Amino acid sequence: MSAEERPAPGERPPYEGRFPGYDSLARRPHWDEVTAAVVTARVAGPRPPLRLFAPAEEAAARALLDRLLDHPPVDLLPMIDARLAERETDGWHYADLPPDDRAWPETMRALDEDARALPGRPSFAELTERQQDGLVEEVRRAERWHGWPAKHVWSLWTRYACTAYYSHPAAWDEIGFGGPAFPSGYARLGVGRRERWEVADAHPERQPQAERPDPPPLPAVTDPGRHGEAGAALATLRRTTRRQRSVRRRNASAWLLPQDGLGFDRRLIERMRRHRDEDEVDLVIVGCGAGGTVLAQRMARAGWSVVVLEAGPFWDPLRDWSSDEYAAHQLYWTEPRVLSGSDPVPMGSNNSGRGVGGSMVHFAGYAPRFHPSDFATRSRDGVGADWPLTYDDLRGSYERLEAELPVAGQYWPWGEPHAYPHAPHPVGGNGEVFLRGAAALGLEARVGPVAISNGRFGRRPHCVYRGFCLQGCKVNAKASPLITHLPDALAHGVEVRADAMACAVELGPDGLARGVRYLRGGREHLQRARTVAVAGYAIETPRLLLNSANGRFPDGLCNDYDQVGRYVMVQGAPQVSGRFEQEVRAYKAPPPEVSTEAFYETDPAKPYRRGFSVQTVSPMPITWAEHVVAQGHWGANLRHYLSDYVHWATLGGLAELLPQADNRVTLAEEKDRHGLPVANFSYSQCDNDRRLIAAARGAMETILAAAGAGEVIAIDRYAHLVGGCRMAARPEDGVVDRDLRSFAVPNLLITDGSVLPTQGAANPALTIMALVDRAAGVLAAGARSGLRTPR
Amino acid sequence: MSGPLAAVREGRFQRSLALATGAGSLVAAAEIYLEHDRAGFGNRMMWWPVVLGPVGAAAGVAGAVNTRAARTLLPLASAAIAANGLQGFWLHVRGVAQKPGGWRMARFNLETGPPVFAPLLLGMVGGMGLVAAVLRREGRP
Repeated sequence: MSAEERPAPGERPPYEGRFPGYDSLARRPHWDEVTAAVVTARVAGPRPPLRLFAPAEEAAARALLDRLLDHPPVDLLPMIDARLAERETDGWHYADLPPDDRAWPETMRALDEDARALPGRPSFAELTERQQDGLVEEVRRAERWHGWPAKHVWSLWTRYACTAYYSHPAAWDEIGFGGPAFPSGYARLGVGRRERWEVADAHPERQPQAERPDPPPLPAVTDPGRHGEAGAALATLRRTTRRQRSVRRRNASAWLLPQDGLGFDRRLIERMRRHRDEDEVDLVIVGCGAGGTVLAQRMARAGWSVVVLEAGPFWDPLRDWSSDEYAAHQLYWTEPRVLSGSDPVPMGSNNSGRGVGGSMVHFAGYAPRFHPSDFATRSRDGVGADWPLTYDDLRGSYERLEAELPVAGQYWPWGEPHAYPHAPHPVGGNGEVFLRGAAALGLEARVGPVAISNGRFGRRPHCVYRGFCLQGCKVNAKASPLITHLPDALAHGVEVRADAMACAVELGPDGLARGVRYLRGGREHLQRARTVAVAGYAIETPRLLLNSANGRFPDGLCNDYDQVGRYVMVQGAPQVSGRFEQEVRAYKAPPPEVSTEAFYETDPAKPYRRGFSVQTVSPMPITWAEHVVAQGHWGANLRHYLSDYVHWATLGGLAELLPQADNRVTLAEEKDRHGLPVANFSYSQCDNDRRLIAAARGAMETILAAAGAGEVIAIDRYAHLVGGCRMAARPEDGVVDRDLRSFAVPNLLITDGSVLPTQGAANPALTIMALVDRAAGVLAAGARSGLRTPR
Repeated sequence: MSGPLAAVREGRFQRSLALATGAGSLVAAAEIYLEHDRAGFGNRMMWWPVVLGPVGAAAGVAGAVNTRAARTLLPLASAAIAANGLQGFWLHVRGVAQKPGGWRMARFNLETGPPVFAPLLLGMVGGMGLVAAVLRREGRP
């Protein structure tokens, strides 16, 4: 690959000089202090001596990095070494590789071993570049290498190398990326439009490759999205003119932020009600994400005393988050987890959260509803499972939450047609490409629905179109429970205990839950409560139940029928990128812009059941590097592709993968730093899954080609994570009932995404919140009395 | 000497200026509705200019057909519109200041924030109505 395509000596590599004079660091005066400090430390910070790599390993690692990224102008090893030494990993590792901090040195020694097999017994670093390239390419192509799956070794190397390089301003200058963008966002959105300070690509003709096979024919539209124009206009008018006062009356969070709408009002935390462990509170909730926070806010409004235990920190968007792709790693769950199965699912940015606000802190922002068909896939299509409730049960909750987030978008014609409270946002280059492609094909695509305020909402500011939605919204424009529900919850007496890791749900002698055991500041506590709700999401909720095994439940709490941890689902989220002659600059404007649900339903003519949706996504440089690496590119070729960054538009599919009993969370041998067994998440696809993902990929290729794309590349990824403690009509089929109450322990609820029996082809955040909103209503309406006999 | 042009030269165009005020406030209100809808009507006061539009239109038509209305209803409605324009100017300036970065990034926030000078254009429509109220009326000495 790179060996053949390397330019002749003296010739400039194709990735150089594309953005002459562009200097991303010159924008530093326009960055906020937190971000400026993070980036400055990366460029000019102290360089401590290496801690992890031994000298021989260091030499091999340096040589390897030089080959992988064609002599990058930045010394990458110190960052990789620091990450490994401080165990600042991606938060997961493959079950068949050692943890990253051991895998790196071990694979470096293995490279040397390979080199010593050559005549003269040189080390890897002593080989000629051509020989090094040969060995590296061998690893990339191999099935197994030194007993490890070569694919996973390759993933380890390239992830760390690309993260180190493409988080550096020197790389941003090379690829024309705008860099951090806060408080100043972007004003000139759209294909071919540049800010005053952005530099045009001087060599737009330098595209890496130019061939594009003919795209497959578009799959049949399964949901035409019919609606009357006048009816839609009227519904939109009714929805948009509804008074905000009604939202404020039931959830004043947006009005409880600081006066300028930025950050988090510290006074709410200082004045927070605090309970003692011995106090028997009405409700203790484990996990302060989408499910936990909504439940806390609703129950506090109903007069309950509530304590929320959260393993991560209490974020302040202004002080703790930075406008930088790499620095956002702190938002993910980085405690160890083990991945297995035939299609192991990497964890991280798009499926795990940490800290108050949960994973919605860094979710893209798409907030679609599920379709009515999602609630009965078993009886309609013979796959998946039927829910113990229907769409009608959630309609009211959907509407309430859409007003509280609030959701912005065009009238939505698919599923049950409905309007949104906020008008659609203007679209950037990526959205423009999608709309253009869809129009050329006669396909319906709509702007929205995104949980980003368009205009002021309470004290929350208008979006500034800076594109860092997945890194945590510093602007407070994108919804997350931290700003949409928590301020109101705190104002109504909820206590949030951050940095408190729950280890088990305790049962009393009467078989009812009596509280939660948790670790905080190195000490173990037991918070007593009349009712317990677990909201730790699809991995941590089953893990907590399994870790709560006791005499009554030897196989894990609520696990009488071997249902806990089963039917965990991820969505197949292939992403397809197309290359355009004009500059798309997809990083401007929020990544969630335009979507279509025209392929959402089952097509009876196809060999697969259920469907998919298509949405815009806009990978930042490190993620984009992952896309290119997945094509098998490395070395000069990789740098060339990355330098072409501004020309690429990216679409993401969401394919409904089916629930399977063997896709499950179990306890691994490995223990975390608290001594608790970590989760082993095993995932394998079925045939239906593979066909559906391929169909989604094909549809996106067709749309991009219709929009005028030259080359098209695709990458298979996963997104979201639901199931694991699903709701069902009978205890034999699930863990909780339709009111999210567990079958086995009447005062134990599970209020997060793990209760979803199927996942639809829609982003789950809104549905999780809606389910909890509904369950909270039931809980408040009457279930408070009679659970415990008064002493 | 007669004809509309001559009337204007002599300062007798109360009726036509009243009509123009009415039309102007209607057009402005339509534009403001779309812009404020795009901004989600985050502040209830964003409805005021939208409501004042039809009021201005009614006052303009009334002023064109009725002399008494031209001296009473029209200046009242116009004053309200002009005052609302000034108020909007202040609110939009405040809106720019409240954007992340505030006046430190004046140019960016002026370009992407609420349009600072647009409310003054609405105020001009109110000003037209006020002028119409004191003008000589067509066909009258």
